Amino acid sequence: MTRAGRAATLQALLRPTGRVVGWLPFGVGAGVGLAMAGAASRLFDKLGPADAATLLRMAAVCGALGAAFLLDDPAVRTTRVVAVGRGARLGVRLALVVPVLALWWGAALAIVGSALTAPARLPVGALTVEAAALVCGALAVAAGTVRGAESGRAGPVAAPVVVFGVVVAFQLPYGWALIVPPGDARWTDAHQRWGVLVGVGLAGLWWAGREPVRDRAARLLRAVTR
Amino acid sequence: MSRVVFALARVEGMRLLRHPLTIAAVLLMAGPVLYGWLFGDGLPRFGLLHEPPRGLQLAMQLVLGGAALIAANFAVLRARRFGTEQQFAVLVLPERLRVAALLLALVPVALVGALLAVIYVGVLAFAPGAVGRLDPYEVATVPVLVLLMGGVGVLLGRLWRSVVVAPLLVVVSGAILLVFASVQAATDSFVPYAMTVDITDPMFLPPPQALLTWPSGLHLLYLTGLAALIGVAALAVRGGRSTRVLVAGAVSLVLTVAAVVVQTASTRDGLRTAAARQQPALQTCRVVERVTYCAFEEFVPWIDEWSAVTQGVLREMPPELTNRPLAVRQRAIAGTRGALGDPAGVPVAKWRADDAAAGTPGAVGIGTRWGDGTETGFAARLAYTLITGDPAALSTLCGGLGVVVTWIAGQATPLTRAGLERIDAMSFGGVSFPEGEIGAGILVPDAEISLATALLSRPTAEVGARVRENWTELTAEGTTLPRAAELLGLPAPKVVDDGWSCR
Repeated sequence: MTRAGRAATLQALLRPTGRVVGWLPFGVGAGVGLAMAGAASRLFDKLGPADAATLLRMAAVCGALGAAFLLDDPAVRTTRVVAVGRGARLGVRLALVVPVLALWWGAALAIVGSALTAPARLPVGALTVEAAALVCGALAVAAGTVRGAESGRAGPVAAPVVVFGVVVAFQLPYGWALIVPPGDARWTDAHQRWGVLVGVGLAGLWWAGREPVRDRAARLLRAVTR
Repeated sequence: MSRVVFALARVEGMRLLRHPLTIAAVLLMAGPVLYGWLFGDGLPRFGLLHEPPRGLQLAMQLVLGGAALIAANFAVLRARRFGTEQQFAVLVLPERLRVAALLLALVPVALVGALLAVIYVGVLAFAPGAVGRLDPYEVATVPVLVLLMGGVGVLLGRLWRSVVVAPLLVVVSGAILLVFASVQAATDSFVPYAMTVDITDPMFLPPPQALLTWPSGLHLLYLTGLAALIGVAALAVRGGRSTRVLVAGAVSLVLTVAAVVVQTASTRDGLRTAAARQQPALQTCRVVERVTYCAFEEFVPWIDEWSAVTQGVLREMPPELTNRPLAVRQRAIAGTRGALGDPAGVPVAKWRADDAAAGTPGAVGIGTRWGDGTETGFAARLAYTLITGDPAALSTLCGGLGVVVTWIAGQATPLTRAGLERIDAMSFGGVSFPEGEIGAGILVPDAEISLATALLSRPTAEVGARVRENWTELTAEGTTLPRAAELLGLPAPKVVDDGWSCR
């Protein structure tokens, strides 16, 4: 396929892909998270960075649970034979999904940030890394599930994995902690670990977007005989 | 028909037990204790048998209960997810009875929870130093919590067809118990009793048995009623409303509401009385080697432990400081439900007044925990009180005084030495030796701690002689850290200005 043709194909894919993305579960998860963080942040007399971080983490986990459903693809058995590769299809989906995720997280930061008592500041960057790790993890598991499964319902696998991961994160030993309050001595180390998790999630997404190895020979053949 | 229901329940029960989430939950619950036993500090010593099931309940509800919720929810929605609902419609077993079978299938998972709870409590009871009397209601609460959560999973599956709801609810229930609970502040309201577990205690000094106010029996009744109500609701939604189901629903609703009302009413007075009680009146005092120790009834066996640490501290003190009468009194916080995370909830003034009234003015406080670093805190506050005559007010110990207090605390017994290492590893800026876990107590900045740690690695007799030789200057108010290091013959540690250091 020529570059222009490829671009046109991807563009043509945008609208139908937007229709099949599981927006409703994500809306439910993100909405519940935002509502909970918003309501809770108004319950505090004085909202400090530590409590604000907890609320944003709650919102992030709920959003990640919703994000676990964003890659659901009930038609996965029929798309195995289409000419547009798995990576391209995943890319189109991510291109649609990522701006929405960014909007959601921006809203969460704004809602909790606005309730913060005056001189305190949110560690926006660090908390964004945490949210990114959760969402990337959820998306990677979802993408991996769609890649391997006959049915394209990835959410029922990815969402429990997210819950499980969060429970594990709470139980980590002191020196390995991921969930630490702002100002803690382990803050920087913890966020390096979160950063690594973002990397692992992205690597997982990249892997999930690759076509199965056995197809590489077929692609090579196509390239030679073109 | 009932045989068919039981057969289905057996199959579904097996599937729930074998579900990856259930297995993961069991590993998560058992893992940390097993790891600690095999590679860490051994079995959890100095357990409080009347207190631990609370933390266990919270973990069980969220981890094993959460797994049961999600797994049961997915089981209800299985037919829908795989598009086989129409096939089920031709089976002899009506949908209502299939739901009943699924509710029954939660029992094995709940029994696993009960087994884990019994093992945990048993380990705690047989480990050395355990005190208190086990409350069977608190242990029985664990399987009911698992049933309750599983029932919620079934109900959700009947109400909504989306599988996002169940994992979301696990997170939301965790948030309610861990976050919202710390915000709600009304002591007298019904809210704490309408929660599934007692969320108000763990951060404070756990109360002794005599000051316990949590109505565990009534609360178990409430949870049972709630679980029944949820089960009935799962049967009744989408047309399973037979007379029997409706009657069961009405009964469990009455039971649940009544249990909350009675809990709130009965505990409101209990809390007030507990807060106002003269704690010394509930304590037994014993004199060991001229030191008076006063402990709540069940903690009397710990007096020997306290005495060992006290003697370790007195050993390195100049004789003129150890001749004065000395008293050690146990502290507990009762009746502060709802004041969570609030240092004002630590009734230091009342403790002092109680001490004076009970004839032990200026007594050194000791908590209701032991063996987790609190023993080092006690040793440090004891040393500080002996040196300054002040029963450990809220202060930062700079220079020589901080070094001496920490060194004396660290060398008292092997337990306090290990405790110092543990709390130092888990703190930043400085190590605090609090009287009530938060609030009153003393704080020693990191630079002082590092000098004291350096002293601890040298022979005790040698350091002790040196400390006593320079006692007056070392413990004087203005002795700086470099000067203290010079007196002790060690290089002065580098001071990092992190906001906690002295000037």
